[in-house]
Amino acid sequence: MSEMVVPDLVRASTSTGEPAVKPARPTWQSRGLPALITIALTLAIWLLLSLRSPLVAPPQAAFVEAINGLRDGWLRTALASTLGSVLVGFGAAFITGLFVAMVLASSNFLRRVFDPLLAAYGAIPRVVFFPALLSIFGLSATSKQAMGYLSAIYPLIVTVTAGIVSIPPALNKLSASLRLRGFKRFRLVVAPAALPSVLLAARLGFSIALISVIISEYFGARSGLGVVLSESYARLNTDRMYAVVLTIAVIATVTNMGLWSLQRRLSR
Amino acid sequence: MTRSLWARRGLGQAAVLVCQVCVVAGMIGVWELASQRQWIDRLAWSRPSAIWPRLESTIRSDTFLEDLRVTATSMSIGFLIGATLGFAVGIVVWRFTLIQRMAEYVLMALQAVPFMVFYPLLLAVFGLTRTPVIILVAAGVLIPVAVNVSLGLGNVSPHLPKLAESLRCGPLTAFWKVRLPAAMPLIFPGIQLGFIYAVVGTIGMEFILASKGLGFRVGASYRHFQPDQMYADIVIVCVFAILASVLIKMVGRFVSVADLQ
Repeated sequence: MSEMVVPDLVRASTSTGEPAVKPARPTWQSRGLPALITIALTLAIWLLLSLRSPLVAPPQAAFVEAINGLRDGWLRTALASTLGSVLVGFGAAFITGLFVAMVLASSNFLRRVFDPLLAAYGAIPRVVFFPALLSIFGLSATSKQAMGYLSAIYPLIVTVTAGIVSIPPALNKLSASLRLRGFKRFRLVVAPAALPSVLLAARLGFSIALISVIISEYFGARSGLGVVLSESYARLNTDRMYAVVLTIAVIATVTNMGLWSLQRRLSR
Repeated sequence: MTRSLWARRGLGQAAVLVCQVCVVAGMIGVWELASQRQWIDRLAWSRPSAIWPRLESTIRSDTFLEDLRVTATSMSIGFLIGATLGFAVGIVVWRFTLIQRMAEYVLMALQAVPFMVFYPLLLAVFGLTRTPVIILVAAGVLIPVAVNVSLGLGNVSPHLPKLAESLRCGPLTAFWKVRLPAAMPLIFPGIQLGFIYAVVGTIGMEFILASKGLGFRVGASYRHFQPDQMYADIVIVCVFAILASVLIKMVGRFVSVADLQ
C-alpha cells in the first residue's frame, strides 16, 4: 500500500523510525484514475446532501461564489491574511523545531528528559491556549500566528527528531571513516539522510498550522478565512461558507500533494 | 545485571527525573517571577500563585463535576463509535485496492478541513444536543483507526496466511485468528491515536461549539473577562488530557506485554 499521511504519524509514534511499508512506484493510471473517481464521488455526495438540506450549499454554488470571491476580492484578502499568518507561524515553528530536534537528536539523555514532557504537551488540545493568546496579544494577527506556532511545533520536533535518530548507524560510521567533521558531515551525511523526515514533518506541520490558524480566526480575529467562515455561518450564507470550505480543501490538497511528491522524489 | 549496572541505571533514571522536575518547576518559577517583577502584564498572563486558589475552588464546584461528566461521556461514546466504524472501514479499504487509492486523496483533503463546518447540518438534524459533537469526534477517530487497520492488515508477514491455509482454516477463521492478531502491533497505535484525538477533539469541539464541558468552560471564562479563572480552566484541561494520554499509553504497554506472553 502506498504512503498515506496518518501512517507516517504511526511511524513517528512507534518511534522506531523504520518505514512500515515500502511505497510502490505508482503508474499514471493507478494515480490519476483513483483521484478522478474520488473527486467525482465527493462531488456527487455533496450534491446529494445539498439537495436534501438547505443548510448545505450545492457544489456549483460554492464554486461560483469562490470564483466571484477571487474576482471581487474578499476571498483574496482572506486568503492573504490566513496564508500569511500560517507561513509566519509555521515558518517560525519549522526553524525552531529543526533546531530543537537537532539538539535532542544529539543527546540520549536530553531525549530521555524531554520525551515525556513533549508527549504531555502533545496530548493537550492546543486550541485551549487560544483565549490565553488573545489575552496576551489582543485581537491581532500575532495571536493566530502564535497559535499556528504552538500547534505545529510539536509534530515538527517529534518527527524530525525521530528522523535524525533513525539515520542508519552505518552512515555515521561512514562519515567517521571518511573523517568528515562538523558542517561537512552535516551537509553530506546528516542532512540528506534526514531530509525525507524533514519534508514529512513540514507537510504535517503545515496542515496543522493551517487548521489551527483557521480555527483561531473562527473564534476571534480581524481577518482571514476563519472570520469569513464564522460571519457567513452567522448570516446563514451557506454559499460563502462552503466556498471557503472548498478553498481550504483545495489549498490543503495542493500543498500536501506538492510536498508529498517532493518527499518521494528526494527519498529515492 | 550486576549490582553496579543496576545502580548506574537507577542513577540515570533519577537524574532524568530530577531534570524533568527542574524544567517544569523552572518554567512555573519564571512565570511567577516575571509576573511579580512586572515584566509581563498581570492581567493578560496571570500568575501561578493566583491560579492555584482558583484551581482548588473550581475542582470543588458542582459545575466542574458536570463539565467533567459531560466531556468524559462525549469523548468515550465518540471514541467507541469512531473506533468500531474505523475498524470496519479499515477492513473494507484493505480488501479493495481501488478504494485504498481513493482513500489517500480523501485523507489529504480531509486533513485540513475543519469538521466543524458540518456542524450546522448536524445541528439541524439533531438539535442542540451533544450528538453533533459526538458525531464529529467519531468522524475524527475513524480516520486514524481505519488507516492503521488497513495498514496493519496489509503488512502481515506472508507466511502467516499460508500457515493458516496449510492448517485448513476457513477464510473467516484465517482472518480473525491469524491475520488480525498479527496485525495488532500496527493497529493498536492507531487506536491510541484515535483515543488521543477523541480527547483533543472533544475538548476542541466543546470550546468552539458546545454549551457545557471542560472545553467550553475555558471559552466561557474568557468571555466573562476572568483571566485567572480562564488559566485555571486551561490547567484543568491540560491535566485531563495528560492523564487520558498516560492512561492509553499504559493500556498500550499492557497489551504489548500480553502479546509477548
